[in-house]
Amino acid sequence: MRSHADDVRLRAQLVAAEEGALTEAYDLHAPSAYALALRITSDPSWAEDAVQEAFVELWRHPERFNPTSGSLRTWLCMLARRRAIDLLRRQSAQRDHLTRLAGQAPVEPTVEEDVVGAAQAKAVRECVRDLPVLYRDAIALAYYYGLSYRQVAVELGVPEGTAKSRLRSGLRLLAERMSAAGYPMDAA
Amino acid sequence: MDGGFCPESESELPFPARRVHRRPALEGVRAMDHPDDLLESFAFGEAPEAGPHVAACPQCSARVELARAVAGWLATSHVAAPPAGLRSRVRTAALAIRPSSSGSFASAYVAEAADLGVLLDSLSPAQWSAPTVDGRSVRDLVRHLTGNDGNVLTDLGVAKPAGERWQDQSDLLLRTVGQSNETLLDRPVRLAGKVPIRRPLREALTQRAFETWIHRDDIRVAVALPPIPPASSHLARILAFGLAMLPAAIQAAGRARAGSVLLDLTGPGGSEHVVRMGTRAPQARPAEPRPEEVRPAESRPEAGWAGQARPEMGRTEVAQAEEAGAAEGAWLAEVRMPAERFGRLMAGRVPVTPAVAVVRGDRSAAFDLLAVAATLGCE
Repeated sequence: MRSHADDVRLRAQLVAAEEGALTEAYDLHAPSAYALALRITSDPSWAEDAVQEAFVELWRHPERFNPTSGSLRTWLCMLARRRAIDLLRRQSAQRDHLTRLAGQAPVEPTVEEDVVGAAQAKAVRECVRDLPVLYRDAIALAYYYGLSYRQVAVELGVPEGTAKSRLRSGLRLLAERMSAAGYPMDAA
Repeated sequence: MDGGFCPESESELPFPARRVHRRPALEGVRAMDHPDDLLESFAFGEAPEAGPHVAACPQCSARVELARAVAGWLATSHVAAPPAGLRSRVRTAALAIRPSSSGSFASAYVAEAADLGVLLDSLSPAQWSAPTVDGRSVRDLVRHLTGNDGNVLTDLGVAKPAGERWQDQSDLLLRTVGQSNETLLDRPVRLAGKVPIRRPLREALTQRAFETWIHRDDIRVAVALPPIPPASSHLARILAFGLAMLPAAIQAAGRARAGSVLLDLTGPGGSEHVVRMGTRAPQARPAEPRPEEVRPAESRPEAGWAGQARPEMGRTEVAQAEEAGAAEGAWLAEVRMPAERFGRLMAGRVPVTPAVAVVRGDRSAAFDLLAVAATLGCE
């Protein structure tokens, strides 16, 4: 896991257009961003596009990354997620997200992670696995596919208020379990 | 299998009790104004229109923080090796829209700005008001740094960002120098200090690193943290910058004399330097003069440290010591001290006392050098 100081240093180097910082950021964080984009799109070429655009955006506007709001890895994943969802939306507005969700195989780690990062990632996967499926689906639809409450409600066939409460309860429960596993929210 | 979102693996966990979210009456924020439907989207990086409300509303901010934390965990829950060619494609695409910087001239400032940024991120509101070594508050000191960074931007003709945030101004300076070319790097800009001096941007950036380091440590001391030196290569660059100015400063201070002093700076960032005791006095016994040192001292411009036209300093006044010269005793004196301490002395943070350095030879010359060196900081 990289420290806040590492992220601030990389940010400053990126602002100063030091190319080495771009490749360092890529080597550190592309595996996470790619895995996320692949989970969202289920398409390697789209995932590549999403990752590329995330890093290009970071290089273009590194000042927009605020290290006090989260890690550089999280920031890059957020950019890749947004782009991947855009690609997905462009592909099909009428996609059956639940069907996709059911058929989606989790991406298993295929590259060496640092020990601390790997332990946290494993804890996340376990906490997610143990969530009630009602919550898990609501979180997945909102997070991986970028659906609004209304869209989540349509997908799940439940009232909008129910969709919202499932999502929020799921988020809260996940945070509580991560905290119990030794990963408090303020360290996310 | 580690948990993906697979509906078939439903657990038996009970539905957790719902919390009752009361909506306290917020000053200036009516309950009906809460962008309740957008909070999670905003936390996931969308719906930027919710930002201003979230920033002002503790209740919505708490929801966003929770969702943002979970998003961070979900984002990094898996890793997969990207295709081999993607790395070079990313690099090519990135550099096509924004070229990389052309050299390492800013690296010391980049590092110091990052270190200061980390420190400022960690300060509590009370610490921002803590007094520093000269009585100024941390906040005032940061404002002072911001002003000096801003002077460089102004001299480069770059419009300063709105507001007085140090980070914004530092970012703009970094971005500007990152895209600079040789012409811009040669452009004279103000140095920080009591006396108005202009030097090329490439040198001014080293002074920005120097000042940022010293004030960063002023702040660290003010909040009971130990000072930390720059990386050795950056310290060496900062010292070389100061030493290049020293002969002219000695001249301007009326302490010039014939001859040189061997300054042996030890430890990380250190090396041996031969410092001329002025810019006009002839050398007593020039040892193995380098080509650039052949130029007669009389042909050089007036010393500029006191604000005259253009200070003559740099390569002609400072040379790495050569073994032959040292063996012949060519120096008026030899001064030995840790490089980091000399850097702090240049900033006026280490008093010039008899014990500050090991001195051999002409003590008067040695302490004149140190006394003038101690005036090289900004303020």
